[in-house]
Amino acid sequence: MENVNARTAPWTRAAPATPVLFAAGLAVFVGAAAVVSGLAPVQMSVAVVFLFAGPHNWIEFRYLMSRMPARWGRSRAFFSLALTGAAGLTAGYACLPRIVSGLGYGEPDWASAIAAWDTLAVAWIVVLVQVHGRQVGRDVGWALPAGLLLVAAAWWAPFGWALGLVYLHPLVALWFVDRELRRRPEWRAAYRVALACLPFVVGLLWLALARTPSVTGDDGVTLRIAQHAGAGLLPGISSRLLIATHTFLETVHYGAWVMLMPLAGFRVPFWKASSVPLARRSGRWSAAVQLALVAGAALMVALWICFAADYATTRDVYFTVAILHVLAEAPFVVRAMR
Amino acid sequence: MKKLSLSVTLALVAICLGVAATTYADIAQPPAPKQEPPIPRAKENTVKLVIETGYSGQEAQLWLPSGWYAGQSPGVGSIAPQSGGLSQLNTIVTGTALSLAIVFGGFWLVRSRRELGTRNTATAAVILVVLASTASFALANAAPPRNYKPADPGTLRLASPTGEQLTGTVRYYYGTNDGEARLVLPAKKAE
Repeated sequence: MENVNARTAPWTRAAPATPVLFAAGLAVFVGAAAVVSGLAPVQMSVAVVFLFAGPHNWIEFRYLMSRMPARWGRSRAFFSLALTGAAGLTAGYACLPRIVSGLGYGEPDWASAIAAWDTLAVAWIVVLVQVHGRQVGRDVGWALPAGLLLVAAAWWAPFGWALGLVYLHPLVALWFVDRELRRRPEWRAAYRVALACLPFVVGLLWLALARTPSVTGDDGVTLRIAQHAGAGLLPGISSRLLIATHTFLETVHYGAWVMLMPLAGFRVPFWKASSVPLARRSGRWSAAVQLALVAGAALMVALWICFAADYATTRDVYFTVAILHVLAEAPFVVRAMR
Repeated sequence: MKKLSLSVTLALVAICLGVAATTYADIAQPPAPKQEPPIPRAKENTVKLVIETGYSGQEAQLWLPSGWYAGQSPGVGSIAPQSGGLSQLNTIVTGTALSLAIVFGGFWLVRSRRELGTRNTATAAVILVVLASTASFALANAAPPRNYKPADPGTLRLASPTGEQLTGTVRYYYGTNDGEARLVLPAKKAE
C-alpha cells in the first residue's frame, strides 16, 4: 500500500505561483459570482446547483473522511454520537413532512415540527461539545446556555431560524478552507482579505438590487428558488435581491469546496483513498474507503442525470437529503476547538 | 323449450321483487352522527360593533377581535388567541429555554469568573451594544412593505357623516366572497 500521509505528502496539485495570482483569482471569482448572481439570479442558481451540488458534496465527503482518525480510540464515543446523530437527524428531517401531515397541516404545526427538529439538532451539537470538551479537558460550560439560547430562538422564530441556516451554512466552507490554509500563510493573508471583502460585495449587491422588482416567473423552479431564499418569509424585500444573495453565497460555497479545497486541503489527488487515515487501518478499510469514493462519484453522476431529467423534483430531493452534509460538518467544527 | 305458465312467471317475479325488497331493506343505515352539531345559542355569532370616524386622510380600517381569524368555524368557540404571532407551545418553550439559558449562563460565568478577563467582558459588551443599537436603528427605520398601498376608503366616508360614534351588536357570518367584507346595517325605521 502506498504509504502517503496527508501531513507529509508533497504538494502535487497545480497551484498559483504567487499569493498575488491567488488573490487575483479570488477577486475575479468573487466579482464574477456577484455580477452574474445580480444580473440573472434564477438562472445562476439553477446552473450552479446543477453543476456543483454533486461535486462539492463528493469533495466534502472526501475531505471530512480525511479528517477522521484511523483509529477512534478515546474519540469512539464522539464519532459514534456524531455519525448516529447526523444520520438520525437527516432521517427525521426527511420524514418531517410526513410527521406534520400526521398532526394536520398548518403553519403552527409546521413551525412546531421545525422548531422541535432544530431543538434536537442543537441538543446533539451541545452533547458533542460536552463530550469533546471532556476529552480535551477544556471548559465548555458555555455550550449549554448557548444551546438554550439557540433553542429559544428556534421556537421564537422557527422559519427565520431555518432561513438563517440556509444563509449561514455556505460560510462554514470558508472556515474549513481558512483552516487548511494554515500551511500556506502567504495565501492565507490574501484569502482573509478576500473574506473581509465579502460583506462589502454583499452590500453592493443589496444596493444594486434593493429597488428592483421581484422576480416574475411563476414556474415551479423559480417559485422553489424564491421560497428557498426566503421570499415567502420576507415579503417586504425584493425576491430578486434575496435570490441573488443566496445564489452568490452558494456560488462562493461551491467555489470553496470545488476549487479552493482541492488546492489547499489535499496533497494527493483527492480521488485516491491512500491518504485517508481510515484506509490505513486494514486492507478491508482501504477497499471500503475506495468503494465509498467511487460510490460518491457515481452518486454525483446520478445527480446530474436526475437534474437533467426533472430539475424541480431533484432539487427538492437534493436539498432535503443535503441536510446530511450540513450536519456532518458540525462534529468537525467541534473537534477543531482547542 | 317448455313455456312457463303465467302463474309460475308471476310467482317468479314476486319472488324477485320480494328478494330485492328484502335486500334493500337489510342494507345498513349510514352511521348516525354521534353528536349533532351544536346549534348556536342566541348570543353566539354576535359581536359588539363600533363605528368610529378617524382623522381626515386616514385609510378605512377594520379591527377584528384577537383570536378571530378567517376560517374559524362559527359556533365552536374561539380559538386560543396567539400572543405576538407565537403559539402557546412556542411561547412556553421559548420562555423556558431563555430562562434556563440565563440561569446556566450565570452558573457558568460564576464558575469561570477567574478566567473571564476585563478584555472579554468589554468585547462582549461592545458587541452587544453594537448589535442592539444597529437592530434598533434598522427596525425603527424599516420601510413599509414594498407592496404596501394605502387603502382607498371610497364612499365609506359617508357612512358616518356627523362623525358620531355608532355602537350596536351585530351577528357575524362567514361569506364566500374572497377579499370582501360586508357590513349590512338595518335601514332607518320609518317614523
